Amino acid sequence: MAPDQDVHYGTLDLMVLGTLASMGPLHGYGIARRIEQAAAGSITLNQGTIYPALLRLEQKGWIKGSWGVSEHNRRARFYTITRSGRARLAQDADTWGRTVEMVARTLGQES
Amino acid sequence: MTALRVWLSRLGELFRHRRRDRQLRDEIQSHLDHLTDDCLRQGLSPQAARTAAHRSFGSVAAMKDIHRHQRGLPFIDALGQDARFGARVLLRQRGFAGTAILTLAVGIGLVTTFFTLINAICLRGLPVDDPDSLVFVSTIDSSGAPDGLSFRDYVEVSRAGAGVQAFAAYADAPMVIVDAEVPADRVPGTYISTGAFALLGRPPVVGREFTAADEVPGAPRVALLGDAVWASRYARDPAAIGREVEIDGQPTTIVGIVPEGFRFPAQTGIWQPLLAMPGLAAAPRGARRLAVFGRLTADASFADAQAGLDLVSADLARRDPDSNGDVRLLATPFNDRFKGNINDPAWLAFMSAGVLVLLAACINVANLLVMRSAARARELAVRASIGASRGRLVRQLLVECAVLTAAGGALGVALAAGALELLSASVPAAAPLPFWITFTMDGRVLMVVLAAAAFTVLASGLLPAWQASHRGVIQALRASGVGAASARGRRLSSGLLALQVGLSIVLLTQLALAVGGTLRWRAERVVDPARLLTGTMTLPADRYDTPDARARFDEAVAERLDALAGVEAVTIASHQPFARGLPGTLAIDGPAPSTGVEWPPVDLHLIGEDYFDALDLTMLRGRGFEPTDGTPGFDIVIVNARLVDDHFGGEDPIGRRVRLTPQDADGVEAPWLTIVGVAPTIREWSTETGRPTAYLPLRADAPSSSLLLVRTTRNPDDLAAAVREAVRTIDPALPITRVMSLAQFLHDASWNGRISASILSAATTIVFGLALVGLSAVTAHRVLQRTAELGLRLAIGASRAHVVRLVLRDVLGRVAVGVGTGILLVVALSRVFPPPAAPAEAGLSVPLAFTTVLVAVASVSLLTCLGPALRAARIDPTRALRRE
Repeated sequence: MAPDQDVHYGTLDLMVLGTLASMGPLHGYGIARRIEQAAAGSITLNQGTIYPALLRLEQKGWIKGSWGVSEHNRRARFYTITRSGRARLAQDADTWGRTVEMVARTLGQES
Repeated sequence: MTALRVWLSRLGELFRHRRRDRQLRDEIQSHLDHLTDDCLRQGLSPQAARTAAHRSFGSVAAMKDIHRHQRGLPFIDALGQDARFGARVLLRQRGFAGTAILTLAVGIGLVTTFFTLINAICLRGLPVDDPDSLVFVSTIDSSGAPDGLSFRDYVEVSRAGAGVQAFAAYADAPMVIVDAEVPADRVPGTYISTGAFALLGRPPVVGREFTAADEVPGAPRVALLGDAVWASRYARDPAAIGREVEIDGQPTTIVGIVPEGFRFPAQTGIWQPLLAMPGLAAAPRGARRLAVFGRLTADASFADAQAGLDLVSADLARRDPDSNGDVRLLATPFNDRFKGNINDPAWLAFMSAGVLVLLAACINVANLLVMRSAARARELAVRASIGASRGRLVRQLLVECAVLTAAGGALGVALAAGALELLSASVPAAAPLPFWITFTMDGRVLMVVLAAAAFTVLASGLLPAWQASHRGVIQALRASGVGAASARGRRLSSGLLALQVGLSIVLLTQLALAVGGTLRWRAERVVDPARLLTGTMTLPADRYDTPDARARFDEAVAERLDALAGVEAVTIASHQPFARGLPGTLAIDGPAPSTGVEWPPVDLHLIGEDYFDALDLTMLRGRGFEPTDGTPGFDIVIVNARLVDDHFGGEDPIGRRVRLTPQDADGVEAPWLTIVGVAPTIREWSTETGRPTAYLPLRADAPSSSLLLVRTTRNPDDLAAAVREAVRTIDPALPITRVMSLAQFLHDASWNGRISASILSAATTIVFGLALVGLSAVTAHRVLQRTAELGLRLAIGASRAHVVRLVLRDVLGRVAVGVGTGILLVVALSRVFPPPAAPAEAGLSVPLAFTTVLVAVASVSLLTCLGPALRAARIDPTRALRRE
């Protein structure tokens, strides 16, 4: 069930939401490439793991999928973030920021 | 909220697995194509690009697996897998599966049938609008005897009626309908208030209901017809509305047709306005012939209605203390007046019989499963050793049991539908059930079937599954094939078997008592119904308005029938000989042993002079009736032997005087009558001893509805046409109905008893049959398990008789435990449902029946085990030993 070990559990969902929010509708390959680019080589993603994450988000009603045609003229399924998805992203991004800050401070004091 | 959404989405996925799989495959392909495109753009060869794309994507199979797992509900997927696997296993073991499915079908089918009956009779009630807001009003006197209302009481009640929108009253009376084209029919009729059908929510489908104008004295007479009468007389012609007919000799117009199948209150085919009822308004306050109901207002409760009625009761008691001094008006839920009482011990016993059969079936299947899981021990052990959890194994076995139950349940419901069809067809046309009792399955029955199925899965599957999964893996793997049953499994199966034998004993004892009662009744009835022809005649009140006129008609009929060839004797009576007569009370002039009852009950029969001759009975003492009896100055009576035993201590009562007051005498004092003869007791079907009965001369008060009894020298049915014709020559407008042999009449009248008896015997046969099947299976299985041991014994010189004894001892030990259980159950049950107090002369007592059953069960069980035991003795030692 866990995605690639190099990605923290739960963070992949957040990254997918974030990507869709900033880039607009994207297909699975586009999302995976975008995440790899953003990480700038700091994580290696098994691109397949993106699909269980997409399904998870779709089941929760945070994103929507529909078939379309890609820039390379290939059939692909495009995902769009929904309104409840944006709300969730805002909430999670906030939590994430505070978590990172807290963890960093804790580590900073100890080191 | 989100969790619910996820769950619903997963549930939805269960139904579109294939489409989503295809969609995912397309999506992955599209992803790989994009990756490959990129790699190609970077200058890789097509082959290298594809490989790089796949490396980048990761394992397609693993991802699909995760995706699929996350998509649906894995638990339900696994259940489906288990069910398919279970079905395959069962298909391979057809003998076992067939036996189990048939057993469960019988159990579930019987419970379904029983519950459908209970539902129809005790639960469903009448098909009327909102029955919960309908109240039934009755009266009750200080002795607690329930009764209806008199017309005068009804008028007071409907005038007061707090919390009730409207009241309606009705009374049944057979009606004779005839018109110029269609001959006379005698149909059950009802006089009913204006607005009653609207109150019940079932207004006429054609035409109109009665209106207040129809109830004005002197208004033209009107009637409503039932659908069945409309169909049989007028072929459902709408022109029948407005048609002029004659009902009970009065010109009447048909104004409407009541909805199909609605024969309120029971089997009525013609309704007339209440006020058309002869003598209604003039009847005294004590003549309580009306049934009354009303509908509560929206905000009123039963208590409000009762409070209103209490005020009326008090008022009536003050104004008319003679007739209403100790009479109280009572409001009861409408349907309670009609439905059978579910708390009646008879129904409780009926239901427990159904549950017992289901239980017996479950026990049998549980036993089969225990034995089979012993044979499957290796398979289960292998599965456990490669990592199946115990819960998983239990689930697998339970699902297999559920597959069995589903098949058995479907078959059982089909069996029940067939049985109900037969049952409905067996209801005699001459004695139909109330219109609202139909033996059909509805939602409530379906719920019970599902509950029974769920119960079955747990009752028959849980124990064997638990026991099978409990066995040690190593032990099971090491043990060989069929010998692997643990001691625990054996104890379990013997316990279940013992319980079954016990249940059989309980039911067989009941059956023996019931059959004994019937046989004794047959042997003791003093009248042979096979050679008697009966027919019912109803004399219209307008042409036969005095007892004299009716008596003259009766005499004319008797005279004409006497002249027919093949007729030995003819008589006319108020009731058929085996029926209860008119209920009355007895008072004796002079000394008589006290019975401790203030008003001892007595049945009153009005009989013609040749009554006892026609029944081929000889008077025990004194004489029969003579032509002068019943005329003024000859106030005489004949009593039966039971009455003499009960009230004269067996002494000669000839010349003594008794006063017989009919229950509906309304305070009129009955005359003293002198006993001139003692007749043999004719025992009723349902009583052990016969009831005290007095016979009065028909001439003294010839009733308008009477029974013709003709003793013949040949088959009574051959004479039916001649009898009809003879009556028609005397009065062509008079219908004579239910012409049949007395034997047929009794057969129809005892439908209830016969059905109960056949249901009891069916239940008993099934339980005992299941016990025997179980016993035989357990014995056979035991022999199989011990094949090696028995072979060894034979090889080292044991005699075959010894082997048979060994097997029998092994199995009969369990039967003995079962018999013990049975004895305990019978004793316990007789505490809960005490058997009817058996009088001294009763032939078959409880202990005798019980002993008979014990001996029978023991010997049949022995015979059942003997087959497998004898097979055990024929074991070939060499082959048995080589099997190990």
